[in-house]
Amino acid sequence: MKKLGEVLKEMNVVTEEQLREALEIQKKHGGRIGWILTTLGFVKRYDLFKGLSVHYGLKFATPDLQNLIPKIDVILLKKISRAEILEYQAIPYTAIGNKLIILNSYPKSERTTEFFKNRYSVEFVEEWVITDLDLLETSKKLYGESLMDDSVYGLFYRKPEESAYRVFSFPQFISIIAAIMVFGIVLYFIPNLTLQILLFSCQLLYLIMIGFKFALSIAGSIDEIVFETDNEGINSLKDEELPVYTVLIPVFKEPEVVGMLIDAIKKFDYPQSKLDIILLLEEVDDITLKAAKEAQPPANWRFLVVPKAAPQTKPKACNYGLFFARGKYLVIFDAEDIPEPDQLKKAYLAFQESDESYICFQGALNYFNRDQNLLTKLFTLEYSYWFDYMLPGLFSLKLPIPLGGTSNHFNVEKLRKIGGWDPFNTTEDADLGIRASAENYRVGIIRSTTYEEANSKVWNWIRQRSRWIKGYMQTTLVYNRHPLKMLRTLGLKRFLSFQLFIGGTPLIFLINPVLWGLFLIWIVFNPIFITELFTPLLLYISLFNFLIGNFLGIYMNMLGAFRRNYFKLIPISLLNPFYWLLHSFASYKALWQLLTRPHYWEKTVHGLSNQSNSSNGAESEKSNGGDNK
Amino acid sequence: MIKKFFAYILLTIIFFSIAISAEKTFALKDLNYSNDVLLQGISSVFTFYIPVSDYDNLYDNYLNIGYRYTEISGDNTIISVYANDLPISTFTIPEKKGMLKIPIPKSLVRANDFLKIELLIKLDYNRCDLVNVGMENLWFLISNDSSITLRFDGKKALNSIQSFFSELNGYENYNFVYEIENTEKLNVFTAVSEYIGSNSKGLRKSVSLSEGDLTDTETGNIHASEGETLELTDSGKKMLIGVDSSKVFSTDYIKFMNSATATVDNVFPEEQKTGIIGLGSAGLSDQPLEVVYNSQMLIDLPLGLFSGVPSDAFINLHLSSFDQIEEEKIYMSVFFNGFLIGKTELKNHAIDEIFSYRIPEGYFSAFNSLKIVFRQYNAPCKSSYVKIYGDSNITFSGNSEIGDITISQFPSFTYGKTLYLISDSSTGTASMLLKLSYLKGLSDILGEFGKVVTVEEFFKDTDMLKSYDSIIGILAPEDMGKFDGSLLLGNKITIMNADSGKKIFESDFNDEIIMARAVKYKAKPAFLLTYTKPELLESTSIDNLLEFKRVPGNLAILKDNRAISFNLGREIITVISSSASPEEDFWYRYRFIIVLCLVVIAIILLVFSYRKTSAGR
Repeated sequence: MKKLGEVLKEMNVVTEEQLREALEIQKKHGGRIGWILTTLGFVKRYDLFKGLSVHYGLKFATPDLQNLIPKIDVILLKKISRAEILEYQAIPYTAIGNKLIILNSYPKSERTTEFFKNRYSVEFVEEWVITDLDLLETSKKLYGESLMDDSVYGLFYRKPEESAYRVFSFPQFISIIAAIMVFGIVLYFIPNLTLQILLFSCQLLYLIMIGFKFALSIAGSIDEIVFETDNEGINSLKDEELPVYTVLIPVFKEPEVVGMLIDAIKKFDYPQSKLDIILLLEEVDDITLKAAKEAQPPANWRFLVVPKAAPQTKPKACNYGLFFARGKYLVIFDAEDIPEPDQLKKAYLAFQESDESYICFQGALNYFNRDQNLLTKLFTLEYSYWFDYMLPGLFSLKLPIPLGGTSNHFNVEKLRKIGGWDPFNTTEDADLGIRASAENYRVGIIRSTTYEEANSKVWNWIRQRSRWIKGYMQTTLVYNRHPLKMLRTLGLKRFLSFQLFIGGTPLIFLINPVLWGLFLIWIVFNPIFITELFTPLLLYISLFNFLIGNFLGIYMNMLGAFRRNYFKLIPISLLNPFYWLLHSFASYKALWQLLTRPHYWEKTVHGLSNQSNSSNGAESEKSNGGDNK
Repeated sequence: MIKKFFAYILLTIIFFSIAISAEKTFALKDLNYSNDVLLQGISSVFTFYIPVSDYDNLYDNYLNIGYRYTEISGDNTIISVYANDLPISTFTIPEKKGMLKIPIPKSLVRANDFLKIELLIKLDYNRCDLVNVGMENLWFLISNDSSITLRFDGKKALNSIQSFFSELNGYENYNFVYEIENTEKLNVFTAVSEYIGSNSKGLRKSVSLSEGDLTDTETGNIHASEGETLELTDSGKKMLIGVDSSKVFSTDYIKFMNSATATVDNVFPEEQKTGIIGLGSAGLSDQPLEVVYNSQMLIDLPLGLFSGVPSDAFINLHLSSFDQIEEEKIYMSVFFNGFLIGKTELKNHAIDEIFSYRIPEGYFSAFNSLKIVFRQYNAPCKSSYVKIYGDSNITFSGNSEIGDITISQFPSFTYGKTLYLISDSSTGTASMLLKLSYLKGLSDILGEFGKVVTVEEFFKDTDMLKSYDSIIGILAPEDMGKFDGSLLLGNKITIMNADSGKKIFESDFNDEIIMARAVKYKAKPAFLLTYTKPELLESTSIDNLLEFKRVPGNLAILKDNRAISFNLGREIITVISSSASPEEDFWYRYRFIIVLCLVVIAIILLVFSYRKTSAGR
């Protein structure tokens, strides 16, 4: 049997020099020579699989695949699951007597032939080679509808109570109606007392939130709590031991970023041949698909076109991609993300050094265009605090962590086990974090940053933020359908943390303008009805919240800037109250949408930055004096 | 035929005689004496009143008295009978048990009046010295079957102005008919209401106001008319009082109006206040007072008698005492408002002696009470007599300003000539004005006629206040602060201790509150009243207002027919609340609609959302 390299050389698809280079890489990093040649771009996918068929002496079925697909024996298909086809990368084609013919994109695997022999009780298995993309497309044709159905409704079918498909459960609906009516009655009969109790509750919530966030900041300020990996640990990793890592990149109408994306991923400090990169494209998004094809990415890239189906959300696309993920681990990046190059290795190391309870490691997010305008500066301050203090604080106190939108590294098996993402939740990542916690999994934090593009336009920011806040509201409603069960599952501490962090955050934003409005009216007009509402106790709490709470809010935002040495942003922290007003506006928009269009995905427009994201975020940070911790 | 004719005539005469002549008997049990009346002591008095109907020509009236008395008393037990304070019969009743029939002279019984019957019983106690008996063993019992029979011929008595306003007869309720809202009519009504109050001491009468003439026959309707004429119409049920004639109600002149109409062309000159007040004008009569063990006499002296707090006041009691036993002494103690101002041992057979005691200025309050107590020791069975003459008097050199006044002293401190201040001439204000002037009249003597002016008129000429002794104000919340800067009253009231900031009282916007303030405005005692809702002025009754008598402070709140009070100034209390802001007013006016709309919108939105996003999916 001729070696694959020889075969490809004879086919004139690779030169001696290219083959030598690939062999050197194989010697150094391990891997299969065919994939190395392909990911280097020396050999096209079609030629590789044709070469493989020659190498193994098997029939190459790709050229005739369109004629073969209609002849696939559906009776045979009924005996095998969709997941098994994707796992073994092979489809049963037909059976002739004691022989089964399979279409295989991973030929000559003993495990595969043994599986098919046993499943179909045949003595012989004949393999016809097809490319991996052909297998993917064929699977989509055979199972497209059920794949889509599972992507959308999978979680709902399995655990309807954990899906945001329904906004309110019936008991919730009745309870809210009853609460509104009771509120109306007491407001009518004892308006002052009712409003005083309401104000007192709001102020108490404020007070607790301030205390909670302060405690999180203190807990999160301890460096050791995150999985810190040093260069030595990363250098000690042998490439041949690294597992296949799936990178899911959902894109929508972002043709301009594909080229940059390919370049960015090429810079990953991870063997390219072990990267399973899936670009998730929407069926309706022709322009991005065209741009992606024209960019001719290496063979380890796959374009997965997600069929058109409601809701058109990122989590639905991710679920679809999860079906085809080949890696042991999986990470999601947005198209414009610039992760630190060694992030995958850091995540891998974190998984290796932690116990089995960890399902995910979250990387920090930050912005490369933080200096673009005031909004991006405020956004950067917020994210710096969120990812450098809040999430580590939650982790440190073993509380449920709402995941960030990208740079979350999953163990694929466990992710599939808990049902993937909820496509009906517009903050699917936060929801997933809570669901993982409810399933007794833990989420860890790694000290590695992904640089994203901060929203630089106010309306775009509001759209994005209203989607996030709506998702928080959905998550709150979902996990409060059976609050007692949730309490038993999470325990009191984690239950309260969830209520405060996920439920309390949008509530505070909704309350904020009302209280500030009252304060302003009181300052300007000093009406007696406001004076009367504020009893001494209420006044003291309100004053404390107003003075100390706002001070702490601003101070805590400064902390993030301190840690990242973004000293120029520190004075900007003082403008945070205006930024909170934007949050409030977005919250009311979110509330309205929750009631009217709960699953509507407010797409954030990217590419508004006038700062190139092609430069490494870390470099960008260094230029600002950041220590890139 | 002729016989038949005469028989017919005779029968007709008999029939009509029976029909038009009638008799009416009132037994004591009909007058709510459910048991026999037991009198104890050597000397005792029993008084009762019989209402006399409006029929004239009463004749053959007599009293039937069933009695029984103690065996201890001797044969010379004497009963004296008085009718309308005049003696009609005195005789001994040797029988221990029996029935007495006593005729009552026709001249003493007046139509449209009460007949006052007074029985004075004096037991024959000559054995008292020998037998050591207590008062409880000296008794005289009058059966409740005792009765009085009045016979009349069925002819109606003439309706007179006097009978319309009769103290003891007349109507229980006087209804003032307010047809056109103006202050002139209110002036008339205020004067008449004060008059009714002044003539209703100890009686239960009331005043009311209606916006149109009532046909209720039980009600004495009073209309304010033009001119100088008083006229009784509608068979004596309705009185038209000319605007100019209303001044007569400030005087006793009205008592002499024994006709149904009168033209008042001259107003009696106002009584000149001097430094001498005769106790006779305060109700003291020359009747001798029998002193057995001890006896006392009470005389009410409203401040109005003095037109302010008298300075250098002396009470001069002109009295005689007699029938004293040599060795026993009578001590006289004189108390003024509970303070002892003098104590004297009366000489035996003191004749026409004058005892003078000084009344310190500080002892005077809005309503004053003079109590004279006679005490006789060591002679349980002996009686003596003391007679205080009506020309006893109080002299004073001048007047000073009244001191601190409290709500409970109302209406006594609104003495003399009162200026009635009103914010408007609405029906509510008129109704409250009647009640307050009635109460003022009830506690004061008839003096000069007050005046009703609007707040607006008053501030155009505040000098008018110099002509008045006191103020009664019915003020809209926004006017209250003009008279008492410490108050800003409105729909909502919050009262706080200014020192500690502690909230003492807080009302809700829905609360129905009448607030009263006793305060001196430009040195004149003033009773200022305001309200949270105008309709309260009509719905608050005289009985409700009398709740103010129970509270000690100078600021009182009447809520749910209960009064609570505060001492503004002394307890350092501030009333911080005020009129509702336009927003609050809007809220309280429309809050049902607002809350309903909010709830309905929220529920509709939620139902819509639920149906769209959650139900049946």
